[in-house]
Formats: sequence, C-alpha cells, structure tokens
Amino acid sequence: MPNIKLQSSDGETFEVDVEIAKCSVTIKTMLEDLGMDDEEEEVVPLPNVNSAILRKVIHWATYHKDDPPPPEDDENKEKRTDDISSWDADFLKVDQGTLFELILAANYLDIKGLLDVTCKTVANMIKGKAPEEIRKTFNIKNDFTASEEEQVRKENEWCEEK
Amino acid sequence: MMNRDIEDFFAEEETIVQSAVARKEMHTQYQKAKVKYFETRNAALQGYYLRLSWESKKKFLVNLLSKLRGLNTILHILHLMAVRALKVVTYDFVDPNTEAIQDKLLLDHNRMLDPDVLKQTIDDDIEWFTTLTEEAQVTVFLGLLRLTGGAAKRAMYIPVWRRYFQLVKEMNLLMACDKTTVTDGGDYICYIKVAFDEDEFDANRPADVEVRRLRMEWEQMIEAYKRDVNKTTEFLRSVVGIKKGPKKQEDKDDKDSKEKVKKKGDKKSKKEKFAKAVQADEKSEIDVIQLLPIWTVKRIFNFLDVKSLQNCKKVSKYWAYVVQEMMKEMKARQQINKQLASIKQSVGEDKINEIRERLKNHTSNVRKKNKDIRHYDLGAVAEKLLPELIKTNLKETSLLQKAVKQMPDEFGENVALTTFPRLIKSDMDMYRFKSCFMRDVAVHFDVEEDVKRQKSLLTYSLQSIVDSLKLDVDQSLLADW
Repeated sequence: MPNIKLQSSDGETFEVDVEIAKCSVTIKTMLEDLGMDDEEEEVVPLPNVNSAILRKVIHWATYHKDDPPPPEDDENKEKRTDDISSWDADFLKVDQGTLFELILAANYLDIKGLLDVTCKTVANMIKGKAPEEIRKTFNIKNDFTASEEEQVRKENEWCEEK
Repeated sequence: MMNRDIEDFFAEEETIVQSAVARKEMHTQYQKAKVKYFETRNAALQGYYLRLSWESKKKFLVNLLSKLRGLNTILHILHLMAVRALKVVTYDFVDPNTEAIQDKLLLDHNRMLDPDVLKQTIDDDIEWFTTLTEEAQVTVFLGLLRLTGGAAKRAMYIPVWRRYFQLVKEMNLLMACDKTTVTDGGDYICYIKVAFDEDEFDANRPADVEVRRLRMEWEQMIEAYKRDVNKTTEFLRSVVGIKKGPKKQEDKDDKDSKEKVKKKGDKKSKKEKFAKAVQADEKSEIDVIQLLPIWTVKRIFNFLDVKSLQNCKKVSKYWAYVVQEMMKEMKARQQINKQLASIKQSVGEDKINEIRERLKNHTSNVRKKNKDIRHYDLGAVAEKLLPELIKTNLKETSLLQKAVKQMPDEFGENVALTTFPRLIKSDMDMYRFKSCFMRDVAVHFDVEEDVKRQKSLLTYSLQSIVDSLKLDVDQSLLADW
C-alpha cells in the first residue's frame, strides 16, 4: 500500500496509508485536484490541525478504515445519538478542549464519520439538561436580560402550540 | 722622586678617572640596557596586547590604570586623551593601506599564546608596570592606548576619570589625617571637590525621582501587559489550539433585525471582528461553542429533540440565535424536499437517473464532471442538458422558486436569504482555496469575488431555464438565487 505524508501545523510529519488518508474528503479532493500520484513523495500540509489532534484523527481513521461509507444526510430520518460505538465512546473520553478541536479538525478535513460521532457526543452533553446545567457544562455566561428571557419563553410556548 | 710621585699621582689619577669612566660607562650601559629592556619589554607587551580580544584589552587597560602612580600621571593621560579624542582620534583608525606593521595584525582573540602562559605574562607585565617610573608608565599606557584605536580611547575615558577621582579622594583623606597641605595635584583637589563629587550625586534630585517613578510605572505596565497576553493566548490555545481566529458572532441585536444582522455579518471587516473578539475576551463571554463554525453547531443541534432545543434557546443569545436559524433552515428544507419529491414523481425516477448518467459521461475531465454534478445537485443545469429537461415536460424547473413561494408566511418574503448559514470572511478564505467545502453551504451569496462569479453562473443557468420555459419570474428574485 502506498503511503502519504501529512504535516501538522506544528511541523510534525505523519506517514499514513493513502486509503486511510482518503477518508478525509479534503485530502481526497486535494489529491485528485492536484493530481498527486500515489508514488510521489509528497507532503500534504494541514495548517489547521496540530500534531496532537492529527495523531488522534489518524488513530480514529485507522480503526474505521474498513467502515462502509456513511449514509447521506437525511432530514426526515430520526436522529439518534445513542448509536455511538463503544470504541468511539472510549476514543472520545477526552477533555472538552480536545473534543472541540476534534470537531474542528473533522470539519476541516471533512471526515463525516468523525464529525458525526463528535457532534453526537456534544449533543449528548446537551441533551436533557436544563439551561443552567448547559451553561455550567460549557462555561457559558447568561447574557439575557430579564425581558429577553421572557420573550424566549413566550417563543417557546408558541413553538409548543404549533 | 717627584717624577715618580707625579707619575704615581697621575697613575692614581688615571685609575680614578678610568674607574670613573668605567663606572660612568657601566652606568650609561646600564641605563642603556635599562632603556633597551624597557623598550623591548614594551614592544613585546604591545606585540601580544595587539592580539588580545577587545574585552581583554579593556580589562588589561583598566588593570594598568589602577596601578598608575600619582595624580600627575593620570592628569597627563587625561589631558592627552581629551585632546586626542577631539582632534587626533580620526587619524588613529586602522587603515588597510597603512605601512605600520601593527595595524596589519588582526585580532586573534587571545590565541597567540597558551592561555596559562598568557595569563602569567600579563600578570608579570602588570607587576613590572607598577615598578616603572611615572614617565615610563605614561609612555607604556599611552602606547597601548594608541594601539587600541579610537574606540578604546572613548571606552577608557570614563575609567580614567573614575581612577582620577578615586585618587583625589584618597588624597583628601590623607590630607584630612595629617594636615600636610601641599601634595601633587593639591590645586586640583579643591577645584574638583567643588565641581564634581562623583558617586555622590544627590539620590533625591527631583529629576532622578521622576525618572525612577516613570521607569517603575513602565515596568509595571509591561508586566501587566505580559500577564494579559499570556492569559489570552493560553486560553485561546486551550480552546482552539489551531490557527483559527476566534469568531464571535454578534448576538446583540439579532432579536429585532435578523436579516440586517446577517448581511452585516457577511460584510464585516476582519478588523471589526478582531475588535469584537478582543472585547469578548475581556468580558470572557466567549465559549467553545461560539468558536465553532455555525454549521457545525447546527449539526450538533440537529441531533437534539425539541425539548432540548428549547432549553438550548434559553442558554444564551448566541445559542438562541443559532437554534432559531436552524429551525428556519429545517423548515425550508422540508418544503424543498417535499417539492423535490413531487417533481421526481411527476418526472419519473428513470428520467432523472438518465440525466444524471448523461451528466456523468458528458466530459472526461474528472474535476469538471464533479463540479457539474455538484452544481446539478444544487439546482443548476448544464446548458447541454436543457433540451433534455424540457422534453421531460418538467413544468416547474425552478423548483426552489416554487418552494419559496409556498413557504409559510411567517418567514416573510426574503426567507430564502435567511435560511442558509452565514458565510464568515475568514471561512471564505478556506472556501476559496478548498472549494470542496462548498458542499456545506447550499447557495453562495456575494461575499467575495469568487462567490460572485459562481453566482452569476447560477443566475445565468436559472435565467436560461426560466426563459426556455417561459416562466414569469421576477428578475430580482432570480438574482437572489
């Protein structure tokens, strides 16, 4: 299997299987667009991902390399957040900063599976929590004035009526 | 007898004279030897001194300075230095074309001798220097000074003065002890005591106090600034860790004028955004969710049920804004999907697949093909395929238009504009270079040149469809799409 070199923002180079690297649509498109041959010793710079995160992403991609391609987004389908595999759950037992960096990296590299699973993890953190709890979880400041809060409450009621 | 006496006398005289001559001879020879010795030693000293490094030269000179005897010596040197510093110094710089051999020697940074030997030699020479007469000391010192060049003269000026004051002080002490009035340089002492009292400047001079205060203030300010910067960078690093600039969405006035805010956000200059980010940092209102691109947050919210979404709305202004935007988008998409489904039904699955296949095969260029398929998915139609489409009796090609028309009234007329994620300028850079990201954003608006181009392409293809189908569509509405 041919290898490809990925370079993180802090200059570290990772050598990975091309097939694994291609689970990132960004890299795949880049390779296709630039017409990089597989034999060529080319380094792909990834200026938006640091080495710690890139290592994790590669770890994830290596584990999931044989997965079937993720299904297309379907608005009508019911969204489930409890279908995270135990391996992924273990993999995502990281601090919040790392989790969000993973989301950004998955977003930048366009790895749908990773983006989905990270987003689901965050969604699980939000699900079923009261606003105050959510604020505490994500360290958010309540910037509503009393009247604005009232307005939101009214809007919510209006939503429920519908 | 007499003769003999005289002879004896003369002989005696002779011997005396001879011995005196011999003694004198010896003395002159001794003197000559002494002078010669001095000269040789001086030359030797100069020879290795010349090759010393600049720092060693300076140290050496300062060392010699401390061994100088007598005020007159120093005064003499000072006088010469002052005069030379003003007048002659320009001639003392080393000239590459000079005839003097010393000027052609290069510094070899203390390496012409073994370090230990060199150290010993220097010590010996300094020892020797102390035994010299004042005149000899001046000669040696000035000789070395001359060899060092103009820079040394400037550098030595202050040490010489310091040494001078030191000597004066010592002498003052001596005078205070035993009232002997007249010593070397006694006249100078009074003058100098009045004029300068070096090392004893009044520490509380107003100017000094002011300078100290200002310096302290400055240092405190720098410290505080460093702390702030460190804190901010640490925080940002911990949150993002990558080069992405913090993006603070405006959430101040989104309640009353969503459309306006949206357009404003697009055109916002980077500077403003930066200022906002800084502001946000100061208030520490920024959180990880706000640092994520908006469509990512929407994606997360997409996984939530209605109850959770309502809770999210109550969290903060930004969250409320995102949730509202997402709800709108979802509703619009549902409408569009419904329309699409009905069109698909009327046209027939086979025909659509056929067109898709044709699209895939109409060019061998992979990139162009992918791009076309992408545009096709976005509603644009390749011109070649237009006749095909018309043949399929597709009455409402502009399905998006129809979707808009059938949108619930609550969204108002411009709903199409507001139902897509805003494009943020820094993200636009990403889009420009990596067009593949455009997948996330269904339709692009006039944020950048690049987008303008794509937009005109879309408008053109829509226009041609509309024309060919003789549909009555408002121009401006078309341009929006």
